[in-house]
Amino acid sequence: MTETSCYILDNGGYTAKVGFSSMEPKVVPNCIMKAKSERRRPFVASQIDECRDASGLFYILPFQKGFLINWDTQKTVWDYMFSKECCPVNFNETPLIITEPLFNFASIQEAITEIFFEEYECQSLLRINATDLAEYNYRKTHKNQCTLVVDTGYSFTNIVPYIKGKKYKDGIRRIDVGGKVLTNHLKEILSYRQLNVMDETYVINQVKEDSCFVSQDFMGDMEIAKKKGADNTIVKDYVLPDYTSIRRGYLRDIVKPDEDLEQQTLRLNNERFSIPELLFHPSDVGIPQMGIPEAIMNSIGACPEENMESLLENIILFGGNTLFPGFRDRVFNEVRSLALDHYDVNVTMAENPITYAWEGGKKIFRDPDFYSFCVTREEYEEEGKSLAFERFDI
Amino acid sequence: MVNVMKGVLVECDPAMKQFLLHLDETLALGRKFILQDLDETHLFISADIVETLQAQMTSRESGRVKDVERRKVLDDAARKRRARKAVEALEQDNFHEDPHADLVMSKKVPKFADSNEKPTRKKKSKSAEYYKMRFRKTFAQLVEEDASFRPDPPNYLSAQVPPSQFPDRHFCAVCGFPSNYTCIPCGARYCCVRCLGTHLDTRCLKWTA
Repeated sequence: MTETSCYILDNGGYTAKVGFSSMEPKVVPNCIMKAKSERRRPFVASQIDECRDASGLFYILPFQKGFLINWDTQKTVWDYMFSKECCPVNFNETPLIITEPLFNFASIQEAITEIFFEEYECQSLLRINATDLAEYNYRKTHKNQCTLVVDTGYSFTNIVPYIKGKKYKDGIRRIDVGGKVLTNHLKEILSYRQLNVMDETYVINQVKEDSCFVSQDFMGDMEIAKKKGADNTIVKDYVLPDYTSIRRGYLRDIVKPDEDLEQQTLRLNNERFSIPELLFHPSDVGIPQMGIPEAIMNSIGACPEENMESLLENIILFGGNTLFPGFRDRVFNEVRSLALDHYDVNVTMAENPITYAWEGGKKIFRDPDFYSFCVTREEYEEEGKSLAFERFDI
Repeated sequence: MVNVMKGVLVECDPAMKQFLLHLDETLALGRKFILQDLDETHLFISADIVETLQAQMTSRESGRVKDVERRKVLDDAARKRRARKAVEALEQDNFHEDPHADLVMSKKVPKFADSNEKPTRKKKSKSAEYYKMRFRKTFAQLVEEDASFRPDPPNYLSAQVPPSQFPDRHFCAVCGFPSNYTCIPCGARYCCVRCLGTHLDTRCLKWTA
């Protein structure tokens, strides 16, 4: 087999990263959206770019709590992705790498195997965890023994230790806080304090992306946020999009409102850093779980002691939430203070956190043993789904 | 001449005694009624004033204290239920109705395909609806199933991180700043009287479910 490229699909709960290994990945929303303004058609994945008024978007997501539940939605989105409109592919000729969540449920695994072999007539298939690809990507650039992968995405945050390239399952930890919880919480407090935005998930998600940051000194920033006037360096206004002159909102300093421009604004103060803070203290909203740094230590504590040093030296962060400014420094500082003094701590943030796992897929395709990881259609037809369970370590 | 008066012995705490002495001195009940100041906690008062005095005492009770007693306080179970609802709300995808829900798609509406080419695939692709039926399982069902597929840890349930070892922090439910006080009826946190006022006006016990 001498295929020159393979098709990589990092199938996330909110966005899917898709494309050939020979090209750059496309990031497309993994959902169907309905707009108030457009009564005729639902928007599948990237078609949302054609929507002129994205207020009050209604989401239909294939994923629930990070697992593939709504198959009709997923099938529609996949059909779109594999079509001429997005990133056309012939699976007869191209191997496919598709990602799945950790501990994916058996019946979902079965369903994916079946759909790709029977519906999309896939030639060879590799189902793999996104964290596996990220670890592979990291290991190929750093040549290290052990890696601790922190994947903080839309549905949840996973912490996975890898020892000599193999994931150490007893050390896997999951925090049920992801981008969705953050956006929903922001929506909730803004709706209570200022303006009802409960229907505006899409817009508030942008508000979150544009204005939130991870505080390095939480209580100190709280004190600053309490101040009035110029002493308060945190408070900002967010100009909301009106979908006539402003397509995407933006953050700006507090100024006297211009009477001519009828702009709607949100005043953001402690919201700016108390939202990402949930990743570090889920208990702030009543989720009785550890934050990321504590969970990192908990995960490493479950691994054999001789690997502790190597794990602490190779912590890699990826996923959309790492894009908050200050995220890496905060994780580093807290892990540093929790870890024993004689260990070195090294925290790396992926240079492109959203497509990091996808890039890992690109590298794994070049692995000389790539085809031994895959299941081919002949094998599937011969031995059925049980082979897929044996070969793929999900 | 012997002066005989019918009286009642009153035993009370010193504060109450002082209050009664005050009523006596200011003629609050229309006349003097204390016959003899016996000691720290005992008074001898005229018998015919007792009824008036009792009426006076009940009206003296503070309105605020009564209010607090009457106010409903949520029990633990209800507070937990509220907290769980709040966490569940964070998992929701949409908070409004499907905007196209009331739309009736007419079958006669022509579908405008991009080209007139007939699909050339040999195998008819199965519709999305088919896969919905084929693999229909809810999240709860899947978790349950997982218990038999992967009965021993590590599995989905065991991977969840335990509660933090650090104490919870508390923030004002209204303004989001650190809070020191707890609303007595519902257990929400607040930081100052102003925020408490907002809380009582808007949220406190408003959606008791």
